[in-house]
Order: sequence, then structure tokens, then C-alpha cells
Amino acid sequence: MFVLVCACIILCISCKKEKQPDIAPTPDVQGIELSVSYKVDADIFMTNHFMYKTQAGYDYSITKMVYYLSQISLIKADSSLYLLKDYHYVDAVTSQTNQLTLKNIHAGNYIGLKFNIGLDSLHNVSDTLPATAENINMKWPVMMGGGYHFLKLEGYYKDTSGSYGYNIHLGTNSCLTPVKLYKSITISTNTKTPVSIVMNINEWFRNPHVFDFNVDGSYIMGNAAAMKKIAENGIDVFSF
Amino acid sequence: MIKKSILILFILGIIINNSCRKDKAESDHATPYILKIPKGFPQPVIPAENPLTVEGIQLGRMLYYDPILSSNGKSCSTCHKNDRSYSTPLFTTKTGEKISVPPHVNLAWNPTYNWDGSESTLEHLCLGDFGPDFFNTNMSDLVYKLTNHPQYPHFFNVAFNVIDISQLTYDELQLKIVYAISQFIRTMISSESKLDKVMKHEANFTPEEWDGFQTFETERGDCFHCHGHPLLTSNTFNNNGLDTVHEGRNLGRYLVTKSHHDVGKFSAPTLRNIELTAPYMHDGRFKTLEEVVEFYNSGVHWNSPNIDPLMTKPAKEYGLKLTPTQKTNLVKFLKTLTDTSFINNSAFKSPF
Repeated sequence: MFVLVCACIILCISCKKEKQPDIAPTPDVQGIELSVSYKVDADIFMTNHFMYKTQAGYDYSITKMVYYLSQISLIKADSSLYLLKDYHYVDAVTSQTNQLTLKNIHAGNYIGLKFNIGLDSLHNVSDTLPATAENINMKWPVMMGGGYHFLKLEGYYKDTSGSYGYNIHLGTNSCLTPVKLYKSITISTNTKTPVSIVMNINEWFRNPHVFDFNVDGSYIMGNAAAMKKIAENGIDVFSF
Repeated sequence: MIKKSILILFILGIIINNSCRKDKAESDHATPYILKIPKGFPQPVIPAENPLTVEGIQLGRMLYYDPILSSNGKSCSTCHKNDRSYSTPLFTTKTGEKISVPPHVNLAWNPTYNWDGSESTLEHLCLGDFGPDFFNTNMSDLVYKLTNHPQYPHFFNVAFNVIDISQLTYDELQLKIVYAISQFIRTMISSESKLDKVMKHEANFTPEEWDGFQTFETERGDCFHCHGHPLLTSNTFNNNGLDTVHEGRNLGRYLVTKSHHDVGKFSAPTLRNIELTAPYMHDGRFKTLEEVVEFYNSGVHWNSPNIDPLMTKPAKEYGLKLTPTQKTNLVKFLKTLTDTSFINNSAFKSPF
């Protein structure tokens, strides 16, 4: 009998480490599911197709669009900000980077969303971001000012003489593009609030500046005047 | 009574041993190997099913240099020579096509392998070597040779818990072999070139190298978008304007995706040890770095389908228009990407 009791005790103790820990309730269900999508005026976003037209009248296609969002914040009723995330890398063609789950957000009513397209000056310093496969390909060379590309929008455009490549690359602190979007957002306890924003890519090429590839430049990295125009046009590329 | 008690406790011991065993992975007995990731490098791509172990790497290093895997006397090192950054001048397939052999350097960071990205893991890449173009392996001979080898049975046992090589199926044996070789290749890291040292403020460029670096790192040459530090490759597929017509292997990435948007695109190669890996481009058409620089300077086919937009800068559509001095200095800079400590690293050389 004694042996059997010992056996039971040994059995219980020996396999104790396999027991699953008690699962505590997680607050993860409370937050925001931020999703980013794209359009070009009334057209859907597709890469590699000459199906769009800039305000300046050029037919164009898109081969790549990658960028950073930074200082993603909710706007409170008193206009103060509630920071959700420091920065986020987005590749327009990969669905996972266009879905951002922001957890543990204080429940309450907010009046909008604020963020930058590009990296704020604290993060836009060479080799500051963790060396991920994405971040190392966004480096902005030190001898051109350092930091990271804010945006790479690439493709081809056509004029009367033929088809040419374009490279809309933004970087350097002066080209940070602030975005403010107003809409009532209610974060409630124990639910995840979906928030969707849409980028209209054509807005990069108009308002306030009609951007002309042949006049302003089709390869703008290091072209301060052209980058400034694009950055200023970027303020209203996003909407809810 | 005592005998009965001892018997019960003995049976209990067996039950406990077996009941707790299921948590253990097959390779748990091997010693985990922590890859030292150089500062500024991203996390490498290491598949969960093939973690690095000391014993796996040791076995992989032996197999890398041993012609035992082939029926024709070849080993991995036949085409991946130490003094060429584990590359070879040019490989000719059975069908006569020329392929520039990518060097085995920093492959732990590659998301795909081969010029057209046809393989998604190093393990799959290595599996291809058993075929007729490379080892032309006779598997029954290989099993015999490995089973009767004085060392390999022990090394397979300590690396992968293989008690008897002859009990593995051919597929299982090939998998163990490519696991080991892949582990070894993932340790082959270069991070100590002169450029790396300059970036760490441990060395200085000569004035000529510095001028070449400026060409590389600014709009003057715009090399950095596809070959940025530290990997010196963007690991993307690009058409750099080599040809206007594409056939056979020249179709590049198209051969994998079947998308006409990928015709003529090839994986951007790392420029690490580029001085040692001539000839250049996927088909080895350029024999020297000077020829490569001249191509980018004046030979780009601007009307090539799917040419990368980065290759069509206004006023530089047909090339970079560098001066002779700038071209010379760019080559001098490219030679600072040579990592002699990598080439001389005894851990990567033959163990035999």
C-alpha cells in the first residue's frame, strides 16, 4: 500500500512541469484594428498596370510603394494626443503590413487619428531603427543627410515621346508629412474597434502642387524642391 | 513483498521516463549553436525545423568538403572555392548554359536562392545538388559509403540522433545531409571588410576609395538602393537593363512566377567579396569589375522590358556618365568590400 501511495505522489510530481498555466483573462481584446487600403481616384490599386493618370496628365503605373507611418496617435476631445505606436513600416502590396493591431488602448471617445508619413526626427537617425530586412533597405545614405526613406513610390509614366521610370523617394526631416483625420472613434471595453484609412495615391501628384514628372522631376531623391512639393501634397493622401 | 515493491517502482520509472519524453525534439541532445549576428545585421532566416547545433555544423562542414556525396568526385567545395569567396568562375550546365555561381557568403539572410529565386530555403537549394548536373549521387552507394565510414555514423548520431544510417530512407538521408550542410553554410558570415571597418570608425578610406564610396552612396552612381550596407544586397528582383530580348535562363524571375512583369529580373547579388567572384552578372558576361562599371556607365539597355525605374534617371538613361577617374575610384571602392578575415577563417575551411 505504501509503495502505491509513493508511486502516486511520484507520478504527480514528475509530470507537473507539463501542466498548462492557468489562463488569465487578457486585455488584448480592447484596442484598435487599423487597416490601410489604397485607391487611385475611382480605380482600384494594382501594381504594374498603366491605368492611372496624374493631375498633370501623365498615364502612369506603380511598381512599388513602401513607407513609414510614425507617431500614430488618437486625438482626444481636448486636442491632446494619445500615442498608440512610434512607427510602422508599410508595404502597400503585402497585406500583413497594412493591418495593424494596437492593443490595450484606454477606453473612451476620441475625435480622430493623427500620424506622420515618414519617421519623426527622433527615429529618423541612421541605424536607430532595429536592423530588420525592411529597415536596412530604407536607409537614407549618411552623405545625403542620413536617416531613412520615408516613402518609396516607384513605377513608370508616359509622355508623348515614350515611357520612363519615376522614383518618388522622400526623406530628411523637413519632408515629414503630418496627417490629421477627424472622425469619432469610440474605444470600448472588451471589444476591438476597426479603423480603416484609405490612401488615394493620386493625391501625391496634386493639391496644392500639380506635380509634373517632366518639369518637377521624376527621380526626386536629393531634389529638395521636388521632395518638398510631394511632402506637401501628401498631407491629404489619407482619408477615413 | 520487497521484490514486488521494487518491481512496481521499476515499472513506474519507465512510465515516468516515457511520459515526459514527448516534449523533447529529435535534436535536443545536440548542442545548440548561437549564431553571432554582426552589429547592424538583421535577424537571419533560420527554419525552425533545422536549428543550428555544434554537431550539425561540424557534420555539415565535413560533408561540404567531402566528395563522398557524389558519384563523380565532386563536393560542394568543387564549385565553392575558398579563395573565391566560396564561389567559382563559371558553371556550365549539361545543356551548355553558363551560370555565374553565387558565393556562399551571408546566405543566412537570403529570403530566396538562385538568380531567379527558384528556391525558398537553403535546404531546398542544397537538395538540388544530388541531381545529375552536380553530384549525380547514387543513393545506395552513398548509404554504403556512409554506413561503413569510420566517422560519419558517429557524427550523424550526435548531430541528428541517427542510430543507423542504413535504416533511413533515401529521402530521410538526403534531408539530414542538407540540414547539416545548410547549418554550416549559415555560419559563413562576412562582416569585417574595410567598408565595415570604416562604418565602425576602425579604418579610413584612401581619397580614391572615398570618392568611389561617394559614387556608390549618392545619386552620382546610385548603387546603394540595390546594394546597401550591411548585406550589400536588397534581396529584391530587378532588371538592370542587360538585354532587350530575353530567352531561356535570361527570362529570370519570370521562370518562377510566370508573370511577364518579371521578365529579365534577377536577384540583386551581394557585393561582399565582389573582387573575388568574377565573372559577373547571372551569366558571367563581364570578366572584370571595370567591365561591370562600364556597363552601368554606358551600356544599359534603357528599352529593356521591366527595366527597374531606378535605372532610368533623367539624363542618365543610358548610363551614369562617370568620368574615367570616377570609374577607377568606384572599382577601388568595390575592392574594399573584400573581407580577408572571412576568406582566412579556418572554421570555414576544409576539416580534412
